[in-house]
Amino acid sequence: MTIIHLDEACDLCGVNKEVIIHFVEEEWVRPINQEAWELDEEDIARIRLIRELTEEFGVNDEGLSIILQLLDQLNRIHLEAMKHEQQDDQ
Amino acid sequence: MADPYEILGVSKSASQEEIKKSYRKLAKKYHPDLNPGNKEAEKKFKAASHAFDQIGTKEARAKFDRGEAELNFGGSDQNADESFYQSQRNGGRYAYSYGEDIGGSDFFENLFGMGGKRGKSRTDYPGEDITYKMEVEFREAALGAEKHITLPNGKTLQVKIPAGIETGKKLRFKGLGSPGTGSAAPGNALIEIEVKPLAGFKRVGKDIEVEVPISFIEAITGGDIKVPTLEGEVLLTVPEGVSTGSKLRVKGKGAGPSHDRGNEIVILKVVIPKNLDPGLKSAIENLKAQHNYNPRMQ
Repeated sequence: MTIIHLDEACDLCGVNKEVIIHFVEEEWVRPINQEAWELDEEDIARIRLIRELTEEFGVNDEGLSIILQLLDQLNRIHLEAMKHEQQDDQ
Repeated sequence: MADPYEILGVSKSASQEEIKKSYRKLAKKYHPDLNPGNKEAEKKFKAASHAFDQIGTKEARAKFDRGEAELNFGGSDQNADESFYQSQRNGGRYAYSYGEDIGGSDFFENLFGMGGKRGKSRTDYPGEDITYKMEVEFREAALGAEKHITLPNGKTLQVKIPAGIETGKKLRFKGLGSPGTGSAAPGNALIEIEVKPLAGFKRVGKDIEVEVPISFIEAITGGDIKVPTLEGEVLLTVPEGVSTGSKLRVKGKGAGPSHDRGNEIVILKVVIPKNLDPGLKSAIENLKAQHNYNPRMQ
């Protein structure tokens, strides 16, 4: 895991601070260390995803919350399935 | 190198708007987060993104059309390319935080039989329900019956038809559907009832309607007439002064079990014979001269 500070995160994602702060306030992004405004790769990938969904695909705020929740659910199922397959293989 | 116009499915003369539209369509379809784990989709998404980088803006497109394309496809920083799905496979912080506050983890524990609840494996799926259709005689449906049905697998079922059953109702036989896999339970057999019609009788809920013809003389004077029921004919007293459409009730001759049985509703129909007896006709003519009435006047 790499610790990424807010300024650096802005550069990586091509956005200004306010955008990331808004994402965090909406609880779409939950930084690995919120007190210190430190992010990790997962947070960066999430910010990029949110930007794609909103800017490229025209998803609005309400729709975004639902999509993120469903994606988290879907990813969880994938992770559980992989874990289960590994257990079966052993 | 692949042609970005071809990848995006647009012509060389397409407008910027068309290119954008086509790219968005592909990006939505192949987005790695909407196709988790699908390598083919990921490849197509990346190809579309790269194609869009090349011709998505006027400036980039002009450059590309002049043959100054950058050849760095796939060579960019790996981290920058990581999809959110990939980040969850590597970490999973977001995926695992899902449902924490709403007790959602039970669902995942049950889903794959995890969390100590061993014994059920992921190959345990309950069997499916199988629906069979069965035709039932009108009388059997109204009064109840026992029937046998042979299932396609050769098994014979004894089916008790409850009195008063109606078309579309399903009888359930637990465990007689498709077998489950592993240790899971089999599905159920469902027998869907179709009640065959019976000439002269009509079911209306628990009641049975029967149309019975009467002469105009019976309509005027009343009298006892025989009416059909599901259990043979019964004598019914018709009061004087009835008309076509008048309804009389024969109690307890409808459908349903004995303690909760409907009624038979007799609907009268006054029938005038086509060829009237000459004597009767002249008697009516005499009556008409003396006692006519106009039912269209109050």
